[in-house]
Amino acid sequence: MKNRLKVLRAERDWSQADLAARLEVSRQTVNALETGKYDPSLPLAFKIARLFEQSIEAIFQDEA
Amino acid sequence: MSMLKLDGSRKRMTGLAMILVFGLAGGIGFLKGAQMTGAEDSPVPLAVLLALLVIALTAALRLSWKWWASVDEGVRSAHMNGWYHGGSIATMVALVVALALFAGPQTVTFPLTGAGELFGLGVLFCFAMQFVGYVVGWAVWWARASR
Repeated sequence: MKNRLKVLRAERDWSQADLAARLEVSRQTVNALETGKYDPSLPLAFKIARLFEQSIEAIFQDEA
Repeated sequence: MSMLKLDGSRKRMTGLAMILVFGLAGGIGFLKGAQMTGAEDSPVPLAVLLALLVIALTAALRLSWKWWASVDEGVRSAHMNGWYHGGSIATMVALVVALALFAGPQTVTFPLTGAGELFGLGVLFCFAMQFVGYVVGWAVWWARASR
């Protein structure tokens, strides 16, 4: 699954560690999310959407 | 992988039930192992050994439970990958190696004194293989996720 996490993070000038702290996950997990190799759980996806004030579909795009 | 959401009291009951089941399984395994390896004749009473084992298992399970609750979902996913894929593949490899050693002509001999030691060696071999598989599976998950 593709996502715009890296772009959204860069727009706010946040480091991966900053985003990790805001989401209460590890920096490694943020990195795994940004590479698109790991899809977040629904609760984490909602948390991300709330943090960036966007809908889940605006952040995550299904590649199928 | 989905996780069931349980409320506080159900969570505690499930945790307690799991500790009891694992403790019972550990105890049965211990007694069977003691019968096979001859540990029944050990100078330390079997009941004391069993009590120590139950305490150690319960403490390990409680600590694991607390640690698991404290880590995020990426870390959990990496460990689940290590456990499921790494452990399964390593078990299959261990099975193939064991079959190769015992099904064919007996070219390998072990300096063992009885069936108990051979059983112990088999358990240790499987455990070691699964542990290696677990670590490899865990490392592969992080390597793939970081690229």
